[in-house]
Amino acid sequence: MASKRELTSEDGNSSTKRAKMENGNGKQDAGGNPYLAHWNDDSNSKPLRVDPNGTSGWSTLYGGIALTNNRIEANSADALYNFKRHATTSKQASAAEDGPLNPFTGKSLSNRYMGILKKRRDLPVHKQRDEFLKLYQESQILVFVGETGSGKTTQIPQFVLFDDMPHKSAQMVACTQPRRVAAMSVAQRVAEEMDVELGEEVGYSIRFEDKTGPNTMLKYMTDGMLLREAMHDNNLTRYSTIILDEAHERTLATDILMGLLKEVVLRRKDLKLIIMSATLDATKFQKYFHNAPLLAVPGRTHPVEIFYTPAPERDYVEASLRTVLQIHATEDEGDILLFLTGEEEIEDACRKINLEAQDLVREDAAGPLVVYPLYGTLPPAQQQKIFSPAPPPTRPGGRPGRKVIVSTNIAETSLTIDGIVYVVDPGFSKQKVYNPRIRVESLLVSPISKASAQQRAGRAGRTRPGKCFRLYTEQAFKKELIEQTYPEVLRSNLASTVLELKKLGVEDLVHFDLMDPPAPETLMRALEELNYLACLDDEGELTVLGSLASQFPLDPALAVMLITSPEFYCSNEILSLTALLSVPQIFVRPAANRKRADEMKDLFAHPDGDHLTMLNVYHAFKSEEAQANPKQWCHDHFLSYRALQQADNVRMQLKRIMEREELELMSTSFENKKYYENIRRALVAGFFMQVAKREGNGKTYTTVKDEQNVLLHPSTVLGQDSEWVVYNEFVLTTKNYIRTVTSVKAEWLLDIAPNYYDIASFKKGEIRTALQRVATKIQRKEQEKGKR
Amino acid sequence: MGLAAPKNRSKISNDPQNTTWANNTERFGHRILTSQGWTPGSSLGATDAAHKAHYTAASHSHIRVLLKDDNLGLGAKRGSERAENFGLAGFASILGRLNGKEEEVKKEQERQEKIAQRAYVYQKFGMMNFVSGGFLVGDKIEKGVKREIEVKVEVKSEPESSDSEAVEKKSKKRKRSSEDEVKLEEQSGDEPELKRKKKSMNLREEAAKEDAALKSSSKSKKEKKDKKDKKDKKSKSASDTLATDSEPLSDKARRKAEKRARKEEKKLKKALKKAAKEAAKSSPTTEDPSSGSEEEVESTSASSVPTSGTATPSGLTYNPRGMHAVRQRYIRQKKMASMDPQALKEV
Ligand SMILES: Nc1ncnc2c1ncn2[C@@H]1O[C@H](COP(=O)(O)OP(=O)(O)O)[C@@H](O)[C@H]1O
Ligand SMILES: [Mg+2]
Repeated sequence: MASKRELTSEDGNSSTKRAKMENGNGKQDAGGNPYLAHWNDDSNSKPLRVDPNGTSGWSTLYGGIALTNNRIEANSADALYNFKRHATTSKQASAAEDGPLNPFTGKSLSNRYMGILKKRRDLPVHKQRDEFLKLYQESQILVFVGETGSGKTTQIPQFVLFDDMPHKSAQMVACTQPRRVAAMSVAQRVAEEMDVELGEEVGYSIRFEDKTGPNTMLKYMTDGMLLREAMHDNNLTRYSTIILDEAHERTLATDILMGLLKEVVLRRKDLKLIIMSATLDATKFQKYFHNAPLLAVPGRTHPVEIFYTPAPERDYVEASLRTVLQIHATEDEGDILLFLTGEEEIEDACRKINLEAQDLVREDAAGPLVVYPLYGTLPPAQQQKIFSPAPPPTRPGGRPGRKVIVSTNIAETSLTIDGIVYVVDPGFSKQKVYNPRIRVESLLVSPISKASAQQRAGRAGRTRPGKCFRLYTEQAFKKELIEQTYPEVLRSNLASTVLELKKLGVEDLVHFDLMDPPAPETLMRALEELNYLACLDDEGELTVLGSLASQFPLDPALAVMLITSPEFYCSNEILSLTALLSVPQIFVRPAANRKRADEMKDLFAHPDGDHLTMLNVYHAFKSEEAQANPKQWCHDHFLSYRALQQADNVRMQLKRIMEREELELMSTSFENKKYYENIRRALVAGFFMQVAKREGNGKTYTTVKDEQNVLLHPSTVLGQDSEWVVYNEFVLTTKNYIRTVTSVKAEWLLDIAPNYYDIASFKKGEIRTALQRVATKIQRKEQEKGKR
Repeated sequence: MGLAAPKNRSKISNDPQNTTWANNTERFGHRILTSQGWTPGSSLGATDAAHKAHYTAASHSHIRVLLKDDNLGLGAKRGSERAENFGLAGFASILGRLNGKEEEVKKEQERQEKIAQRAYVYQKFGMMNFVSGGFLVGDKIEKGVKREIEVKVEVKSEPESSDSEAVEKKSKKRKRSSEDEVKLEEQSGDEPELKRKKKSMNLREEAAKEDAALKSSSKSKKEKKDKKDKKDKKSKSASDTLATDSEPLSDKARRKAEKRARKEEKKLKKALKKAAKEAAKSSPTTEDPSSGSEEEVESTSASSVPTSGTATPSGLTYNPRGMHAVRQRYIRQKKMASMDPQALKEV
């Protein structure tokens, strides 16, 4: 009953099966790779490097400088030609950086570059460049810690470039980020710092978007992406150095990567690994990596004064808005960073702050204020806005302007925004939790940890002494907050992860060396789900279906539904549905306009349930009428244009995988009576573990096997008369709801998922009796058929 | 509400244990794990892992959570008296008006407007109060009582202390060392202000007490409570009046307010800057952060309470000390007042 795993979520998740070096047949290679599918459109014009030896030959190929690429000789051999790999000094590097030619491209350096270079040399990490180089050269694994803003993400990879010179062995340096936003934004910044075009020497790669090219030597990528790549290239041979950044965030993908890389470094002595963290206590990382050497950059330059409220707040959102406005009206110049929990809350807060700020300006009680939201699903162009400077005073000599950034956790450590002087911290964030016993994975607003609170406060001290306003009492800080945030691996459904690990060739899951091993019950559940989905056989080995499912960046249940959909003659529709289930909510229901929104939704409603309703929406969205002006059409129908657009994009990507895997795309004729029934049956093939049965004639439903009492979510179009329903999501609130539900028939359950619906395995009770009754009926029918 | 594994609280569902599943050792997952050498009760992970000591309880059993489906701030408790407290101030003025005390209410409002002129912002949004908890240096918080005292002195000795209401309110660094001090100040404090406070206080009480026919409140209690409220008022009168008056100001008043606010703010800033400087200067000399023992901290934070009774004018009064009981009673009275059918009839 895992909630949907959003394709748009932070974990990037795709593979670049791209090989090295120039060689004609790049087209085929990209064509074979669904994640690079968009390359197909113009792959002729993009030269690809293709490794003549396949993807695994490089580890043995080099030791010194292997000049294998014409480009390098032509462009930059001059600046770096006497650099001895893994024996360079910061002096050498500095000289090369000073120009006049770009050491990597051979072009002359811009003025802007020089300006940035000066700033870069003021960053704390710069003072320790020699020290860093020494440790990097001496040790295969290095743990590097430094506070946010010290220059880890932007500088260290560049330090590495000058010493590692991956381009000379046609390799790359990878730097992972837990968040897509960070990967994109940082790559952009570093491209500027190196005076190169983004996507050329410096690029990024996130799920469904690959901005790298044949010249790329430094690649920022989501940790999920690197993990995906590892599935195709277990030794990650295209990289000479891998930097796991933001390791303190302990995302699922980073944790798995650490476990994998711990083994890879034993197989590949030439691979260097750097673990970077913003928390100063790195002993855990060191211990985990066989006492790897540690390099710490000394602390931030400015103290941050912490303020608490004297009493708890009744409404943390309201209190945060008031605090922001109060700061704006009464405090010195300096930008504000407010932490809230999610997109909706943030957008709402931005709106309100904007309104009130306009009032303040009108009353001349404060200078101008601009507000920027920041969250994971924000389009890149909007994300980039957070770096624009605060507005100038409305008139000369007037009160200075200010910018406010209202952000999720992203701004906690992943992005450094200069100019922040005030931090407002209500003490909450959205965190995933997973209960393996009832199989519910959910994003819940929960108190942050002490470590998080300190990180947040630290954001205020970047440019000068700052202030952090905590909207809770000191007492609450001490008593209510846990020390450290639990790593994601302890808070997630691991079905996808286990599938990935299996694909990665990890046989012994029990002893897989994770920094924090998950609860045994969580692993059991994952194995069982995969077994029921026939992704693992009864011995726990990966099946053909499982291997195929691992190709899709989807939850196993969704992947299995998609893969088996041709059997139900509706793979086109299921493809659309899978895409729709992988993006944020498509229905918009503004508080002020609920009734109208509901009326609009009713236009699309299908009596058999929400999945079919969503499909109707998508089909209408793709109609000529809607496509004439899709934005307006969505607005008129209370639909999220962004979500539908995203679904369209995801659909396209998934379609490419299906084509590659030769899964047939087909539809039942719409005139056929079975059009919708087929879709519902296909749903069962993936979601038979997410079924609930109505209790008697009441409103309550009981989930099959786990026996949880649930209600249909109020948003459903489904009436109260469906005995059996599949659902997409188990929503945890004080009442338990199932959301996105479609009615199904018990016969289908028995027919399509006989293993799971093995009646003997059911507890005595209403569900078992009902299933038994249906089974008997089927038997009788079949006997009659036999007689006839 | 809290990710609190050790507390083992769970609200996830009616039967969070799903023991049928958990106790079934025939399951596929159980079988595979056992076949790979896992024994029930042990955790997963590499044998003899060097970092094993760092494992948490969550590596044995999943994390328990409490559900949060409201906007209650961290540490605030659901269903406590605080919610009722909210908005009662406005209610009081309505009650007063309905009772034919328009004159009084009007006067009161005018007065409040004047106070409000001090700070348009506070007026509009209500003031947020904060108390300093020290400085974050590196990833440790450094704090010391010494510094705080210095700061306090600094703020107090500002020449504009007659105008210092706002400064006081704003001054997050300000920490009172004792209640007595507050009382003292009250007595010596400017008279009109005190009266004003009493007035608005009275209004509230009228609504709460007089109409509701509260016979039970003994005089001494009332006095105590009065005092307490005075104190609150003293330190945040503007914000309090704000809560009392939610009606928009006239344009003229607004302009005036904003002008004064600006002036006020400048002073305030000066004071704050000075204080901050002082604080910054003294912070390195304070004790080691780790030695900031629980007790010491408690005492400082407790001492800061009188300055700020409520965190925000909108309510949520949490008073960790003995005052709590008194306050609770007071609130109960108010509550009764607004719920008592008799009182409503009289209205
Ligand atoms: N997008 C950007 N725009 C402008 N400056 C940036 C940007 N990203 C980083 N910087 C500058 O680079 C510095 C170092 O940032 P970063 O390398 O991300 O630090 P860390 O990874 O240690 O937190 C920042 O303090 C900031 O001055
Ligand atoms: Mg960083």
